[in-house]
Amino acid sequence: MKLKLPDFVTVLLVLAAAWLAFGGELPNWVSPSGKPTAATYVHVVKTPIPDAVSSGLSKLNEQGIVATHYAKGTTDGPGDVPDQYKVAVAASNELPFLVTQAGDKVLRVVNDPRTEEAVLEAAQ
Amino acid sequence: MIDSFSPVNPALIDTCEPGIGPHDGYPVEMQAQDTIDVLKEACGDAATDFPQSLWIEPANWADAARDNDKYHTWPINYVDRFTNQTPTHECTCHALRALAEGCRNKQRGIIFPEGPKKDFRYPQSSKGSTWLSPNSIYGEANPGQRGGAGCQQVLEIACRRGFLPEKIQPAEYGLKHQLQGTTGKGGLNQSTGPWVRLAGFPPGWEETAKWFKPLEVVITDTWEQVVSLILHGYLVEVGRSGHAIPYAHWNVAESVMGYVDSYDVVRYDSKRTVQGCSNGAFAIITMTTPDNWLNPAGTLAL
Repeated sequence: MKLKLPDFVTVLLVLAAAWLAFGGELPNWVSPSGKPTAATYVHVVKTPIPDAVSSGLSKLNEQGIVATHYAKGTTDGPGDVPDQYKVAVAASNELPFLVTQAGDKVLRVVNDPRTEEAVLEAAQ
Repeated sequence: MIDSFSPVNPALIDTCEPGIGPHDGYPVEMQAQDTIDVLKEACGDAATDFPQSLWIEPANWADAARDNDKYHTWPINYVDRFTNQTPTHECTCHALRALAEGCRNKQRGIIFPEGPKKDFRYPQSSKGSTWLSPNSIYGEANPGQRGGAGCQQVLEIACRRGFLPEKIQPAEYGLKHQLQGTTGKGGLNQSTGPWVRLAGFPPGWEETAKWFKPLEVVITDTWEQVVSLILHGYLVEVGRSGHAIPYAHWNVAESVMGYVDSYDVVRYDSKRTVQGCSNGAFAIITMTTPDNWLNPAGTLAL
């Protein structure tokens, strides 16, 4: 179906209203570029990590995404939550989960992924 | 690629580096001190018993191994370099660096499909793999240089204050403090240099070492627990026959355990040898993690 000019203006007005509703900023589930920069599998330490998930993360790394495992509670040198994982660990309380981000913006959260496809699809 | 159902060259099973044996970097008197209780005490808060969540029934080992083959998730797939200690007594520390680097690379999420290769550097290593100096541990464990060290000794040091990075790294990480990896042969991916005692470490080295500490260490008391850890992708350090090594791959076809020997080669222990040294073996399952993988000690302005 082809969009008519008045419909197009309406769509623009709705988007502008949404933009204003979020204080002039993009909501946190929208990436400015739409492309993920990081994917983190957050899990409880001492629990198994599915091999397929590890393989999927490695493939995302090949695409230039920083794709990693993070065991909740793991700290950096000074003993704090590493800066790069502060957004990821706050994305869900149901461990394990996979979170994709564009910078500090959360794009998607997938609870308990178990397949390579689930990991790759989360970063699309 | 690792194929755990392929036969292994028998010349690599239960053998040591030609011209080296018998090994003397892990003397019998030090081995006797590496009991489970002493290892737990050495690790302090980092010590943990083998968790049941990581147990894999022996009947399921073959299936788990097939997954590891398919997805390249053996511990050896997280090790991106060999080290070469020839002719020193640094074995316990070369093995420990393999555990620490492998754990760190597993956290980083990058797989090295063929494991370590002599005189080869993976381009992917530059995305966050940081190479740690065995000498940064051994220099404190044995101030006399010759005579080796105990596994519990070097583990205690690493858990207390961490490793220093090597002088050779796969990327320019802006590290403030580094140390030669070995006084031995070294190689393309390992720096060599003169012996350095703790007092000779670069001033302020503790600020860098704290970024490279084991946070959680699983201590085993059975060989089945060791195989379970291997199947989950964690390297396991054992000491036996005068030599300490990092187990990194279980071969189902032959029931032998592959390890990354600190002589630029992968060798194997028979099942009987594995059974004889698994009481008091250990795996590092978490390491301190950087705020940014390309800035591993927090020193670069990114």
